[in-house]
Amino acid sequence: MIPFAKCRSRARQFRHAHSGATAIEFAILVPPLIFASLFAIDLGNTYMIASSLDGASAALTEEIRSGEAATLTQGNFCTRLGLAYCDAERLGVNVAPLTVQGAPPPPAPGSFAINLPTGGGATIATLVYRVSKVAPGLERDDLILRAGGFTSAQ
Amino acid sequence: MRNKIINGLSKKFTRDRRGVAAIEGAIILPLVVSVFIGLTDLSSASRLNRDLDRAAASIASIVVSGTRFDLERQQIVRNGLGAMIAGEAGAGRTNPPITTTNPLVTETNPLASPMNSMSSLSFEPAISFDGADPKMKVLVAGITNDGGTYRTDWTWQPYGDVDVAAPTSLFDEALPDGAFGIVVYVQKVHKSFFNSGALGNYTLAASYAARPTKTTRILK
Repeated sequence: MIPFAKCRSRARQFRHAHSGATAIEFAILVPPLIFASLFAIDLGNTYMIASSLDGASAALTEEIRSGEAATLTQGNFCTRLGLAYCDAERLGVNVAPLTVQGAPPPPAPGSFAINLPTGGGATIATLVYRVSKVAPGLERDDLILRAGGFTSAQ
Repeated sequence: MRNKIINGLSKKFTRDRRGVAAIEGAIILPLVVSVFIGLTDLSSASRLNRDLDRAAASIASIVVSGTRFDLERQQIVRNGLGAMIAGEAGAGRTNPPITTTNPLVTETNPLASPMNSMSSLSFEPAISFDGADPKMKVLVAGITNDGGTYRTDWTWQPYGDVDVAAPTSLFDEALPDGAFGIVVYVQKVHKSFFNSGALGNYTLAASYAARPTKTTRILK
């Protein structure tokens, strides 16, 4: 058993010791810095996808308005609309009539449906994209970016 | 004696280096947290601004595609806005129809100078746009050709009871090509995280002008 005096002495030594202080500070700061870096990557990635979705939704509503959306398929969708992020399991597309009864629900990621109103009329297009996260603790399935617009189909 | 003690303590305090990092941390931390929250807030405001831009363009597209901006089209626009901005319309949801007596559609003059004379169409949909504050204002106004000068007629009220409204048809093929159009103005209050004082809520707005197609032109 260590005598009490020896314990006090060691405690005092520990309090006054400066060796390894930098290593301890480094160890404390590294996790938040790594987390901040990953968060910044996530933020940038999310912003890029959101911008791409915005552009694609604008192009999609223009195709609906001009009557060209009928030839859109899941295969040519991203190429024609210039959508850079085109993971079929993450991207959801829903084009449907917009009526006085209400709007269609937003699509689920991975779904693709283009249902133009017969004979033209108000149409709403919604795009969603499920974003994957790299920062630990931020993996959320519900981080789904959404973009869309409505117009009158020919 | 007392002064001497105070002077001694004061000197000791000013030369004491212990706890410097903690004090610095306490000063800097609120600033860092504020900057982080401010950036997050700016990001959400930026997103809402983009939504409003698209909403204005979408509304204009619906208005100029038909022959009148009647109650049915207003309802369609409202449903579309609900889906775009709130992402809640749909999934079996049916909004109550707009009627001339529907209190959800009100005529107000909420906008500040210099456009304080304009009448606006206030959409307060059954769905909530933004939690406790569902207000989103939409104004659709006509652009007229006043002797070669284009003028926005903010007093034009393309809503309400279309059966008795002055313009029985909003479009007229007899008007010269490109002489008339519409302008859509949307605004929404963005609820800031700093929901108080000068850093409280602020209003974001977007507008979009469009011309009817050749078969549908505005009647003045």
